[in-house]
Amino acid sequence: MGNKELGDLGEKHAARSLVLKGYSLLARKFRCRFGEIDIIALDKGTLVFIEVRSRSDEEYGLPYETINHRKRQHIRRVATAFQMKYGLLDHDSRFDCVSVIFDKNGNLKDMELIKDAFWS
Amino acid sequence: MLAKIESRTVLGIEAKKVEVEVDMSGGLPCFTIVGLPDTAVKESRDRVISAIKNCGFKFPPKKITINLAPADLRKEGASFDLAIAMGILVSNGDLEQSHVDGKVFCGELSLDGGLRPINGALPIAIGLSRNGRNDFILPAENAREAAIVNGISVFPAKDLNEVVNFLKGNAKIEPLKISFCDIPKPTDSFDIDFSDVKGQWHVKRGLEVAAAGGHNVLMIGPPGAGKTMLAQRLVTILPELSFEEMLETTKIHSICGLLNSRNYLVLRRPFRMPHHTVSYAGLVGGGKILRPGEISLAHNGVLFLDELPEFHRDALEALRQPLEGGNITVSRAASNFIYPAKFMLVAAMNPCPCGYFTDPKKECHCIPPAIQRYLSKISGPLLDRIDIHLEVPSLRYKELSGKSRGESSEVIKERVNRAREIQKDRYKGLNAFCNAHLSSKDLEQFCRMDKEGSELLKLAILELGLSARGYDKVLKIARTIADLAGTETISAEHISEAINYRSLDRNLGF
Repeated sequence: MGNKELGDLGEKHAARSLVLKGYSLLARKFRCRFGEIDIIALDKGTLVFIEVRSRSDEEYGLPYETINHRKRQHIRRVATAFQMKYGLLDHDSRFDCVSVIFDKNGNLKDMELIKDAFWS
Repeated sequence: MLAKIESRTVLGIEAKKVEVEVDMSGGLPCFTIVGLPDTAVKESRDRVISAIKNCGFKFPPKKITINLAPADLRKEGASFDLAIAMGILVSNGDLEQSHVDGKVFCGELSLDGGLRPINGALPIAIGLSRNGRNDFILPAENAREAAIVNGISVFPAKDLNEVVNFLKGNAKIEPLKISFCDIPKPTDSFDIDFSDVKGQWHVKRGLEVAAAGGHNVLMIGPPGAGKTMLAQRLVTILPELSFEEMLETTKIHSICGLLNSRNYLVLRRPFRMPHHTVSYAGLVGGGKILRPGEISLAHNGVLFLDELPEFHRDALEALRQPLEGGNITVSRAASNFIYPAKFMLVAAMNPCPCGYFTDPKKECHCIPPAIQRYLSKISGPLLDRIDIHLEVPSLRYKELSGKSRGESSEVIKERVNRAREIQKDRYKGLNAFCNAHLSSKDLEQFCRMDKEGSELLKLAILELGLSARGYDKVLKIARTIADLAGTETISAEHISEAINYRSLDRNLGF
């Protein structure tokens, strides 16, 4: 399984679990010229920007460890662009992160939602 | 929602009002501190977030802006943590603005919400009582030093939860008050005493004169003669600090963070003994983050400079103005700060690099230029500000093995106290408070000699080549000696003893 497929699969799993947790999804793969946000959702009135990180078990380290300062800046810019587009600039917002781990055969092994993962 | 909390910072030795404004609004979560914060203040963000969470409160992802007003004042240190946390709790709805109105908050937070001590609690408390503000909430560790001040209520708190419960009225914090009679009396028992030093009678006498008149002293002698030992015992014969003096000195020690909950008041005259590698800023005050130097820490006490010629030249020269004026002005581009520095300078040195130039037994093996170089490290103007020069010879075996202990500090102190009383009465309404601070104009008025005395002084000037400055110094010292003896006019014996204390005017080739 390639990295792209792995990521898409991870996102699918993540989206499903978020809906089960009570999030209402607003957008998947929101794209603008600054980059992309995997999932945008509403959780009890708070706008949530969600980054999904997937990894197969063979790789080292945990998925969310790969969100570094640069990636955060990317997400922040895209989030601002989204807010601008829909006039939500002073809406309560938050960044969440979902890390998804697959085993060797591509089956879901572990999934973790980190609320309020970072501040801009 | 907007919240306003009052806090204080210390600028120089005065407290300055700082208003902490916290604004919380929607938007991407971020936490900004504005108002010229330094790194310690910026980092308070992480301490505050953790402390609030660990105390069981919510910390919502919001856009938080914190302003420390006035905006042009540079904010240093971690003492704004508590005020920032209070502001966030108010904006968050955990507290009402009315809960915090009229109260002043200072304190550093630890990650678990505990309050850590801050520097400068005493000057802040003094500033508050002067402005008629009265509720001061601060870490328990600092409470005692602030509680000495009249006219304010000091509420010591151990952690964030305690503060919140107190403000909500769920719990009570007893305001701490230390009245004048609760202040522990300085016990007379120093663990050092003048009778510990054997022999050196004339040095002891010289130090007694110095203590009685507030004169600066320079001791010259070979290594091992007891210069350091004698200097350390000088504080045991100085008069007790008055309450005002205690407050002045404690203020500076509070700013430097040298106090704790047990030693919350400087009860004895400080004895500061900086090492000779001390930097210019370390000695007189200054540095990137402005801090009082050793001379200010020695305020109302003794500054002892051992091995005087080894000190950095610029550090020594910086002593000139404080020795004269009793304070030090540290100027920065933005502003200047005045630190008090009224101290007695006691210096010790060897007569030459090897140390045995004046020793009758041991041979000195320094070449003359080396001695010259060594002595020339001390500039004339600095030497000029030192009234009493004492030669400390090495002890003979007879003195060393002798049983005679000499007078105890207590006995000497009594005489010193009496001499100081006389001076205090005499200089009422004048700028001076002891003989060393007399101006040459006042000298004429207060230092009357009898006929023999003036004859002797005249002779000394002609024969020994005393300068005009030396003349003034001899008079001042003679005045002190006469005060110790309890006589109003200065007689020949006082003058002759005084001339003895000006040895550097006479020999050693300075």
